[in-house]
Amino acid sequence: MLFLLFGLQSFAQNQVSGIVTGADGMSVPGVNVLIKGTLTGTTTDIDGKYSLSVTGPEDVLLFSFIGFETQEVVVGSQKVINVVLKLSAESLDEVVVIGYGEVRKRDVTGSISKVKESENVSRQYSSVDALLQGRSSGVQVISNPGSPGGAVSVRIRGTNSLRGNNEPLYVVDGVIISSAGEDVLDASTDANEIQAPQNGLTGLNPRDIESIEILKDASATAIYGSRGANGVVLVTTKQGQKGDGKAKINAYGSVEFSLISKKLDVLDGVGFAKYRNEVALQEGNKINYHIEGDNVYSISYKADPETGLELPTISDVPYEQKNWQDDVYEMGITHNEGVTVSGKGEKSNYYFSAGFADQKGIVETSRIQRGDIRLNMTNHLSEKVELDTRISMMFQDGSFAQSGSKSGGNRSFTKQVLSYTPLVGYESEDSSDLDLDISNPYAWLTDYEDETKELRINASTALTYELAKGLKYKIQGGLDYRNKDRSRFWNTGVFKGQMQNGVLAMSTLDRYSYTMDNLLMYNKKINDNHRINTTVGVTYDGSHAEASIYEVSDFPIKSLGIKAPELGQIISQPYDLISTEESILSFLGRVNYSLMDKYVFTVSFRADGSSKFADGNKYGYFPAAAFAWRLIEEDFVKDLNVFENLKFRMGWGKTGNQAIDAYSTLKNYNTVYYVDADGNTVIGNAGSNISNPDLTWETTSQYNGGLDMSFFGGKLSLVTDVYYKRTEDLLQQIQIGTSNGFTSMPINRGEIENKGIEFSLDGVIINKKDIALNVGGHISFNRNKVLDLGLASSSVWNNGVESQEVFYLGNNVSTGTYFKAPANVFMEGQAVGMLWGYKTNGIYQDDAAAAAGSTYQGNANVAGDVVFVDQNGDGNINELDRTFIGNPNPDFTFGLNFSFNYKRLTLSALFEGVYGNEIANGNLMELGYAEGNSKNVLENSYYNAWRPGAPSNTHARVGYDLNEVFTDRIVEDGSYLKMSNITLSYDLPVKGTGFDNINLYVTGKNLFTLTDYSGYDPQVTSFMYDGTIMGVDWTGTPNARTFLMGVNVTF
Amino acid sequence: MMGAMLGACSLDEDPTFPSSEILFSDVEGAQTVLNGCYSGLASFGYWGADFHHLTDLGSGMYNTNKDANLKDIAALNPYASQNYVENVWKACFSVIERSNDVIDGVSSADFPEEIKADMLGQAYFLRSFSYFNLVRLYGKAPLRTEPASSVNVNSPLNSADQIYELIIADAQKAKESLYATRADGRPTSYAANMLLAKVYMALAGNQTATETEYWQKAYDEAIEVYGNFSLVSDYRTLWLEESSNYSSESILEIAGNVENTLRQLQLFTPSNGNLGRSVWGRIKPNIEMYDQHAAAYAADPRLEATFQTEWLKYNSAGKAVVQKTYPVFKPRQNKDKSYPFLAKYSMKNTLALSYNTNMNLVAYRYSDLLLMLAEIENELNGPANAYQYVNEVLDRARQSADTPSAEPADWSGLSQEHFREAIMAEYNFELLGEGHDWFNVRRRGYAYFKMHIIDAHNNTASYDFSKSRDVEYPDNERTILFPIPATEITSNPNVSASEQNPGY
Repeated sequence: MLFLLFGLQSFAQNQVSGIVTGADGMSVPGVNVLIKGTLTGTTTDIDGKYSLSVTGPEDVLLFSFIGFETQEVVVGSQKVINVVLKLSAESLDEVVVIGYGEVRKRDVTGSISKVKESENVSRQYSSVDALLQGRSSGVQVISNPGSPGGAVSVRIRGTNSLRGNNEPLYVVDGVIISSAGEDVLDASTDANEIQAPQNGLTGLNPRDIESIEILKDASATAIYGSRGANGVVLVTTKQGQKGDGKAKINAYGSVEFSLISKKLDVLDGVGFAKYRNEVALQEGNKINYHIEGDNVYSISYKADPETGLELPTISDVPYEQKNWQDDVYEMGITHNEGVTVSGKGEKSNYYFSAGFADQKGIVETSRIQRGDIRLNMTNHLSEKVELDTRISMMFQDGSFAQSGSKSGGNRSFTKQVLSYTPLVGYESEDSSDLDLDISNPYAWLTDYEDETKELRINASTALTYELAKGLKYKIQGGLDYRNKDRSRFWNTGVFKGQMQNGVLAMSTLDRYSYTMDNLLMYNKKINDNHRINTTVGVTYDGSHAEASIYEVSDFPIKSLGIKAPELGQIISQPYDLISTEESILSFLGRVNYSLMDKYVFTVSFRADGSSKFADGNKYGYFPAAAFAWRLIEEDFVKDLNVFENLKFRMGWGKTGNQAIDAYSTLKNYNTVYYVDADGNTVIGNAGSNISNPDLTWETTSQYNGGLDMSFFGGKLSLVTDVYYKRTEDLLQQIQIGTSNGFTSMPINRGEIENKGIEFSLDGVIINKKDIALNVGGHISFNRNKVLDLGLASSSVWNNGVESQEVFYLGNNVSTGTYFKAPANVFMEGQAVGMLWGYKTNGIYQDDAAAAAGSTYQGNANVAGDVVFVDQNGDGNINELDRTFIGNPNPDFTFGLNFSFNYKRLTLSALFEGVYGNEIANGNLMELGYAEGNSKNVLENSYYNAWRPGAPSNTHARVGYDLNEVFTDRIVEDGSYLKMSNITLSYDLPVKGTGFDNINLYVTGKNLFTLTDYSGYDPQVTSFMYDGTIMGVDWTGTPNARTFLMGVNVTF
Repeated sequence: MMGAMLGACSLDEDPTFPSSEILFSDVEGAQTVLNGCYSGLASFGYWGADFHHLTDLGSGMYNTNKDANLKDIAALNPYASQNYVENVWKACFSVIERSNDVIDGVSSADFPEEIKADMLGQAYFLRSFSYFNLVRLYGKAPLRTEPASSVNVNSPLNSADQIYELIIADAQKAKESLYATRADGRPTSYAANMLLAKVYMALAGNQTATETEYWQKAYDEAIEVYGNFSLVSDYRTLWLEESSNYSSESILEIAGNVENTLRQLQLFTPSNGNLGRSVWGRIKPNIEMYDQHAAAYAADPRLEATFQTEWLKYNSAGKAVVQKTYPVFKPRQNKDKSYPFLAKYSMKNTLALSYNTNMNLVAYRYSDLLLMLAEIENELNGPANAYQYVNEVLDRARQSADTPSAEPADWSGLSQEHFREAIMAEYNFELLGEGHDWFNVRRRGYAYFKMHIIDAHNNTASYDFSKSRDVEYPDNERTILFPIPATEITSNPNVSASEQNPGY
């Protein structure tokens, strides 16, 4: 208006006109055009056109627009001056989301990784935690894509806490999602039946993710206070991109084929028959198998009525020989399709997406069908008011193959597939029906159901009001609603169902969490030297969860399975509704101050009040401070002409972890049951915990130093971080004497430390018009140590030397016969969760050596037995002889990626790996010994077993049955290098077709894994949320190798 | 806006489960806490299953088809981290903790005195009952008489004497507070008398009446019970699901129903011995237990009611084959057949599909009291007046067949020593598998135990100790007690490894 006024005042002498465009050729409206040194000027119209009278050729026109470099043009003799604006260097600055706000990348002071992945690849993942795998330094992800919907575990910078859950905090568009590791309760009253966990981070489709920022150090995470200690993953979903008001539509579809990636070599039918016969002869029994060529026949015995001798009869029909892994694991076909529509108008932008996936695993019964939609909208209600609304909904319906039960054996599907007899007879001579026993692999497919339904709604709305220039008030409300139910039915073909004539366990979770943030943000640049970016706020987070469990058994009609709980005649777990309310009230503030663009200071503070703790302990305070020095702005660095960027960062902060159950400070009562004189069930109440009113959060202090460098005009960049963190007042569930009536008690006690160094390198090797090659890689070293546990010490023997050590042992791995012992020890001065068991030293080769060896729990040895190392030299092996037999913590983890682009073709690949950790391969406890029972074993265990005259120092004799204890014989190197993803994509030529882009791609996932680990997969997914069991592969399921083809169309 | 929000924020916890204040605010609530004690008693770790695992398999009188147990606990080679050694200790203390909670809550509650006395009586009884198991099985234990809280965890071990002091005091209180008769299945004052009689007999050990007053004390308690119960006419009906609960000779029962099943049928029915094939056949008597009984009274109807020597084994198609065990089947290597099963708790309805049952477990039975009285009387005054008690039991045994048997004949003309020998054996014949075995064979000391259990077993000619099914017992005095569980030693800083029982 003002310019217009001035324009009218001057009398036209020379008229100059033109169009202002951006680098992309689009016209730019609203650009200020001014004659330098005057107040005369105009602005470009909607088409980017302007027209202006100048006084003479010596006039200089200034073109300025926010975000672009101001340009000066001498008028001269020109009548038409068209200008192409260049983006200003400042706006080229990436903006980084840091929680309750964002800063320019150059002003970042903490350790923050940004994860970027192409749409084609990110859409292949079904959850954001799985997507993180191998993509950032300091982030270790464990998942098994072979089990769709299975749980995923993410660790940022090592094990921070001795409590179960070390999962980071996820924040999606500013709303805290604390559901990683959350699941329905286990409804089964059977303590031996462990429910395989499922992924808790549902409802966020990686397709919709614009960016992921991982806050790793405390100076960055302290703004999340009592929940920031395990790191924070900030996810920002997509918005409508700038455009001409026209909708951008993208449609995609893919189909994926999954195959088991590795099989284990168990005995075939003939080998198994030999094995069983050898066992029978050893026991002094008659043999039961006749082997003729490749066929095996049963031998039965009948007493001759005259002589009384037992005469053998060989059956006419040979056994059916099964390779159960071949029979049960099949190709799973998954398809996934969806559409996104986005656009941006003058006052609003929107992003809408919808998708459907039908995911099948490598076991017939594992399948997930999932549909989801999202709508993100931003509206500028006025110049000062912006309303941002994001809603997503997801529904999924899945059935899962039981990956395992804590007691293993015939309660576990995966184990039965390996150890069930490969020789199957027929029900009778003339029958074609196989005579299959309880919990045979087929029974697991037909007689076990595990159905899950889940609805997830995430919604947030934020209203931002610009109170004054640079001062904004933002109020944001967020909702995370999760409704999940899971029903499991064991029919009589599987062990648990057989015991009780059919069992149905049902559990539900109905939980809503909400956040309410009130933020005041001030962002001001005071001349060129000072820039200040502050946030203060009050937030309130609440959660209300209702979980229910119910179990019935004894089904006269079983065919309806999970659909008919009313058919269960015995209520073994009456309907139990457990509701939990939690809330956190917080006050937070942060100042980010940049001086001369060289020195950046960040100070933050958060006070959290948590409902979980008793009065007096409710509030915790979490300060942080950090400093960054942008050395690149210093002349002495500039003059070196080496660096494109050089920045030094250091920071310190305190964060917390309050991952204890609500109500832990109060005495809880559980409902239990007894029976009255009439045989009716009566209700009882029994104390279920020792309350500890003194509980408070554990606190982690972390120091971080980092260096960001880039060279060769930014073609090579290196980020290095070193950190040291120390967690105090560890929330522990310490074991207490069972004479207390309870086995454990929650307490704040002890300290652990993690220290590490991370490198992340990105290089642009070639960057030409038609050809480009980018490579990147990262490597992270983390060392942790238990500093203090606050327990009494006890004796430990190592190589005949006794020492007093302070330690506690992890939970028992199993409740069954095998591995009913802890695998891990948490000992002061040692790494967290060292593997703890018996050292062995080969096999006793002869009776003399066996007799001279130490007894095991008082039992003498014979030749062919395993040699246990007697740590205390008392001639007997017992618990006191356990020692360190491995370290489950890796020396380092790493990832590598590259992308190569040639014209329309792009090839990208991602590798990830772990080095130097050890795994207790629980499967070997049974499969690794020819124990002599009716279960199948690995070929090696039988063929290479010690025998008189055929000595072996690697495998025990046939019939050796001391294999249920945890020894170093099952500890293996867990290092691996895995090709996680390789994608080749091609852009079809689209000129004249009306399409903006058509892209075809093929992907291979998990194509190969280099590892010495002999189990299914070195990524161990057993016990992911039990912090006291580490590196134990107990219920490990096979992984899948996947091939995928997809198409992606934009118009 | 902010103010409104702050006003709405509450950081107080308002739990949805009952608190102590709520539970002990009225009688009905307090009763549920008391029910919780019984629930603990009936739990899998205690009378529901593991008490039988521990005291049967560990007694030296049983075998098992569970190979891991065969090598350790059933071979009289228990160790501190052994499952059942840990579980029973834990379960006893769980009942003690719950009882302490009741005692603490009810003592200060404002209930009518009579109700209060009865509830306290029950809690004292249960605490006494569990400590009595602990002191006999483990020799010593921490004394816990207050509900556990974060400030009183981890008590040191107390001596057997101190524990017996509490057991007696608690049982005395129970005796005074409990009703003599009641219809709710809960302990009566007679159950407390019987508990005390057992306590005094345990304290008397192998001493004679001239050496200790405990026989007299035991008599004073046991005689209180005498005549207040009666033996059922047929021994066999004690083991039928439809007639076993609350019979006329039941003095103390632990209750279960199909929803809250005690696992005796699952533990004792031969594996695949029902159509649903849902049982384990885990605990079976040694063959010398059969031999001794058959040698004493070959025609005792109790033999058939106690030992299952023939059973139906079902295959997956639902067909059943008859299996004959020892004494018909003699070879030593067969899991199913080399040992007889215990018929008392073997499922009678083999067509059942699950192991769930409404059958209770009878912890104290009147015939046990009669045998106790006979033993006590013999110790105090010799056999003359003792016959009447044991003969009552023997007479009933004779009647427990379709046509009454001549055996076991009434006793007469025994010396005091002979009577003692015979009555100790009679416990095994009458009460095998009912939870008393481990205690009865040990309470007269190691020499008695060695002779009657270890040597009797090792000298049984039918065994072939080269076969894995048969296990030779060690001559090791430590087996008179179980070890203090490893968890207690490692997790309780006030219990040190040096306090472990001798020999472990």
